[in-house]
Amino acid sequence: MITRIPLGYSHWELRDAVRGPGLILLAVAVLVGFILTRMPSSQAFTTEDVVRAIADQSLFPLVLVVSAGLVSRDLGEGYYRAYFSRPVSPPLFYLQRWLVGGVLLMLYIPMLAAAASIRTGDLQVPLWIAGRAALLYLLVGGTVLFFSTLVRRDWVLGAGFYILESILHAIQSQGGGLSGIARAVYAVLPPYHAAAIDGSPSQGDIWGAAAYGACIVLAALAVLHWRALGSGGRA
Amino acid sequence: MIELSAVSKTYRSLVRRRTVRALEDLTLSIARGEVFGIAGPNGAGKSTLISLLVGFLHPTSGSVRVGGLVPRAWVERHGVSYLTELVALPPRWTVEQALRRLATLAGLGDGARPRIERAVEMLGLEEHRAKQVRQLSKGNLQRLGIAQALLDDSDLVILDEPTHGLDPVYTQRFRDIVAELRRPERTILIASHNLDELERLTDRVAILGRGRLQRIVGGAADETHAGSAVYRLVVAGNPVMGSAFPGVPVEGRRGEYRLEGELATLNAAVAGLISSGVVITAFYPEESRLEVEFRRAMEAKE
Repeated sequence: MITRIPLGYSHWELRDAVRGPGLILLAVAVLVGFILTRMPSSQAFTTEDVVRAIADQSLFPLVLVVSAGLVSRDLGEGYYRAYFSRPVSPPLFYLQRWLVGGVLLMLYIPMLAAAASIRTGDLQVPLWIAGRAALLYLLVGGTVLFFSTLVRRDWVLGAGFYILESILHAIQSQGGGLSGIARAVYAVLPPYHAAAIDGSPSQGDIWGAAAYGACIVLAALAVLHWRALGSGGRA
Repeated sequence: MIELSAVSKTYRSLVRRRTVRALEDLTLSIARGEVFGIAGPNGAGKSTLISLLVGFLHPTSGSVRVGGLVPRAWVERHGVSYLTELVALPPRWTVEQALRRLATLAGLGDGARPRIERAVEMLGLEEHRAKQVRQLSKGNLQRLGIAQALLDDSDLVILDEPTHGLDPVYTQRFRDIVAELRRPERTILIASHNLDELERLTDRVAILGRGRLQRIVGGAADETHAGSAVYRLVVAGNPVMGSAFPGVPVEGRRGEYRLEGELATLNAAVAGLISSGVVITAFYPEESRLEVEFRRAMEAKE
């Protein structure tokens, strides 16, 4: 039997994701709800205001939490030997795991909206924020997935790329000119700013960022297809 | 089933620019239905060879084919019943969960439950089902490793140091399992330091040394002992051996003797002893054929 697409395994992946990073997402949402109930009633805000403010501050680190070590942990610990002695394709296995992480992150926005609704009484999920969250996962999560196929500290590199691009984008958008090398680096770095909650990217920026993110994920899958998973006889 | 042609594998360290030649110019053919052993000292290249066969490593040069395909393509189509030398599973998984998850990945579907039950029963894991992997002793982890390998019904079985850490009961149980696994369409590979185990279980054994194939020795099916060898003879009581073994140096006393000579000559002498009323309780080679060949291979290598 050929099970190159391990769909049957997706519920195990979901279970692992919920019990790992899912608990952190839930904890953040619960904390937000708790803080809102303690705030003075004179302060007026909408559900969207709350989701926007919290998502702006928390999405980036949470994407790192969800996507860190997706591949590198298995390669480093040797778990891949048990998985891929089965009729399973490594790229599709990890694509599924990455997508499950994305689904979990998408649930974070309704969770925040639910927490805010305790105070506002309005359970409305701002879809544009969910869209930005998806784009951020595609870009940052895709970058971390790519590095995860190559090195152990994937999230450190993912965070470094994000911070570097943020700095260069801030200089650029404030009218400061970028020098030759900095301009070249800025041009090739993923356009993370297009997914910023507080930004106002054009449709073209958003589609360009989505295409870039899709290319990073495809590059990660290509590496998984071609690279040898082992690094030694026993490792 | 398995064809290796002039296979070499070199590990390169990017940082120190060191290179280690794990396998060198290895050519080997293993037939469908064969139980094949791989022996060699530490660092001989056994685990590297297995990683190449499962497609976890690519050869530096030469070609590896499993069923006519590159190993990864074959594994992704058919799967391998594979036991790693160091069983590595996520530490928080329970035994039950590990088997269910890996059965799912093997694509067993509705057939998973009976296969899991059978593997648990064969390896005596009933009382450990709810334990997490990190709570298992070395021996129990090894039993879980064998159990997960038995889930798949693959035509290729690869077992790397299968009895490492097993107690004598499960070592014997493992031998029975290998006997049950034998099928005309199935190839079984066993890598082990335990030459006695390989001699009992396999049809042929490849002896590796420093990454090279030193020699291939027939296993249980090939018991011919050509040339002079050392044997042990144990007899009841303490009879006078006298000139029972003309021309053969006999060492030892009190019913246990060490003899060196041609098997045919010694057989004739032993037959003479029996006809003269001496009760023979044991007559066996001091070293098995595989042990002799292994020693010779290692001496030749040095």
